[in-house]
Amino acid sequence: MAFTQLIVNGLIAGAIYALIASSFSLIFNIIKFMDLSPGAIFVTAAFSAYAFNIILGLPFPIAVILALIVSITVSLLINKLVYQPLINKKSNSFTLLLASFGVFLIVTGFILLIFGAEVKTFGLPITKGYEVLGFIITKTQIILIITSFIIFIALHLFMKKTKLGKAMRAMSDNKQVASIVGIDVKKITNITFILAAFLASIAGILVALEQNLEHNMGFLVILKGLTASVIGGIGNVPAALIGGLIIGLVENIGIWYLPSGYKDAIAFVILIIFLIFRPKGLFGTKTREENSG
Amino acid sequence: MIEAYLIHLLILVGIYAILALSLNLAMGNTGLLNVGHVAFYAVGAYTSALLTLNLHFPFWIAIIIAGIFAALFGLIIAIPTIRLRGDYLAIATLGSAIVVENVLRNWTSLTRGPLGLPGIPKPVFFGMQISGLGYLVLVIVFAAITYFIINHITKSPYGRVLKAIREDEVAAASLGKNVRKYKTQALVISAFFAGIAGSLYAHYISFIDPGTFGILESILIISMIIIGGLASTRGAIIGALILILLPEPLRFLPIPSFAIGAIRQIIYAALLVLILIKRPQGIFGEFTKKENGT
Amino acid sequence: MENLQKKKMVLEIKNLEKSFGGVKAVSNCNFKIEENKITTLIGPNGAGKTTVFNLITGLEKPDKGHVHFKGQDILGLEVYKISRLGLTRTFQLIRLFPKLTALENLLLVKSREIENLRTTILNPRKVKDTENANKERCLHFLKLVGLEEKKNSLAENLSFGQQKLLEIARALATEGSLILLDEPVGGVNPKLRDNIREILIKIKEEGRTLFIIEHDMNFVMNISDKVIVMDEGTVICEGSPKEVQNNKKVLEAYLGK
Repeated sequence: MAFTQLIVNGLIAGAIYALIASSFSLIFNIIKFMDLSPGAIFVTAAFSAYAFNIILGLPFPIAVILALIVSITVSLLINKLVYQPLINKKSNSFTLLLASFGVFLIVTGFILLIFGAEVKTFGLPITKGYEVLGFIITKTQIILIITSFIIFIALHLFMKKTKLGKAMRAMSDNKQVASIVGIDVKKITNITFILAAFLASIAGILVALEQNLEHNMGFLVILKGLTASVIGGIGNVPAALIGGLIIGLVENIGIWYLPSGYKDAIAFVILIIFLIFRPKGLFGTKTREENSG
Repeated sequence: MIEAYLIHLLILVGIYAILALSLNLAMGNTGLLNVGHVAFYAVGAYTSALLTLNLHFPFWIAIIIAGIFAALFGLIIAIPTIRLRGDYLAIATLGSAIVVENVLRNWTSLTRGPLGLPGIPKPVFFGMQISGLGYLVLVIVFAAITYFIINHITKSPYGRVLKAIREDEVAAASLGKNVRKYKTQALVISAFFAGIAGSLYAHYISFIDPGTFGILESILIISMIIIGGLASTRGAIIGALILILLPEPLRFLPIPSFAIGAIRQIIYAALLVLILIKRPQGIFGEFTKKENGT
Repeated sequence: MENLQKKKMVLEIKNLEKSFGGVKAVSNCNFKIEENKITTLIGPNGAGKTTVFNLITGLEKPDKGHVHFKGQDILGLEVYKISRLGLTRTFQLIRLFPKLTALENLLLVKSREIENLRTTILNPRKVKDTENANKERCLHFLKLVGLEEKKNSLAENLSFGQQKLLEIARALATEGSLILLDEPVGGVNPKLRDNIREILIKIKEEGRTLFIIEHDMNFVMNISDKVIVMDEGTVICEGSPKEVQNNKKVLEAYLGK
């Protein structure tokens, strides 16, 4: 396999991880907790799109929109039913992390229950793909990269230029001051969750198109996305992009040297290395962590 | 046949009780957020299985070595991660567990990868194979020993230091406690007993594969100690009892096995989330009934 | 003459410097703490007093300078090691162990030799005996601060004033060569403040050395053998309470320039 192919594969995977990582960092900025629910949203969106498009036969764009509505609703429900009560009780961050894990397992469990255990696919015609510069890339993959690219630019502009984006960043810096200055904390929190859900949903649908669907598809992707956001600097949304690309690239280039089965382990070894030597990440903003002893 | 079924359940309860007790020492008492506890369980199971299958060690030696290997693995994990703050430790241990599962799946020359290890022999005692009721007795004995040792540790002045570290590491260090040493020891001991549980599991079910030791297992064990009451040694056993028995009625419903698995997962996860939300003390509240008598 | 003086100095700070992100929290800091005396450290908020405590106890590492405790250079030692040398501190915001009882909070500082795995598992008899002996000793300190009746109450269930007393009792129970108290009467009512003052004077008479950060001027003037004044990270004056009270620089620091 040409080396360039590995790079392209890395970029494709990286784009997905970057979307998930951005989703994480957005949420972390607002509630200051690590939250695994993007994983649940990822799977929900993928299967919803599948259900609307393949099972119910609706046209693909409609299916996507409906899937987004479903996922965003689920995300807001999770926030309302699980996270807000915990935050109001001043729970510690581990409690929320654990609860988000539970939520992920609940959602995945329901998807398994409803859709069964067999791997599903969108059944897109298997085209040969374009051969460019020694690597092969399919139409779907090109769409994936372009879509992600557009979303990242849009996200960046949104955060930097719009009033909402600035409000979100203000809240991330200092919630109390933000509310004093007149920012509607509740509204911004909900919008953040919606935005994060949107990112995770797009990632889920793209992966479902490009590969296939199975109820556990969210698990590794989500943890790698978390890894990517830790590497970039948790809470730093633009850095999530870089973190995602790094994981995607290292993972795919790594299997040039290692047996391919170890691919998944690569991301987590990187995670552990970063947590030990540079928990702030490459571009970490606030140092929340203190080392012990 | 009801008898055999009950014995089977109780054996599982016993094994999970050991897992819950061991995790309780690290998480409940010392505050180490080890989400990857299942990794120690896996190391113990595979070590014991491989020693008996490939090297024909007797069970009684294999189980001890399994515990020791798991403890050593705990030490390896502890050295880099013990100084991480709270949820970073959680993520790091989670990552380690995934790496372990990944290695078990891919190091096929040693572990046969996804094919797993079948035909793990039952223990032999004076020429007789131990199974059924005999195995239950075996598990109970090990569980009792685990309970006794961990209870003794947590109620001692040593256990008091662990608790202090859980409450406030900085204060503990300011009072002369070598926090890193205590945390490492707690993790290593916890790993040892998890390894023992792994061995007991392997020789009971006779077959293990990497899939047996997924993250859901870790979540399950954490749920057990949370339900039982963190830092409560008795509670760990109660938690194990409740969570093993709870989904059993599902087995009798006329639904396909993937559905049973799915519902089981939903029940465990939902119970965990519910307890986390409802518990007034939050995750580290102990029962008001005093656990550590002085 | 020099040697005689050195023997009486429990703590020596030389040219201590510490910056946080470009801001000099402590600079050019020099002073000595004499044995068997009560020295107080005062200064306006932000003067760097707690930072000095953190530098001495190893919670922070200085950028420059030396800390000598009983003649030994303790720079760079880990927090727990410094504590074991006999240097104890309390915290401005109480750091008791909430789910341990008052007695257990104290026992914790006394049970070092039985707090290891080997003794716990192999010698339970020794653990039991030592623990009982320690209980007696700890009750003495609880009595000293008037908390003996609360010995089995969880620390989190004590009132604020009781917690303050317990934190002090715990520091005293270490029977260390130097005890650092960070605002021991911060936020307490006048009656408790006088109570604490009496306890500290009594402790000094028993032979302890105390180094106290405080804001309450009355308290400071009534209890100190020596006062060190800090402002904006440096020592601007030291001397007896009377000397410091009349010092122009000190007045400027507090009243603003």
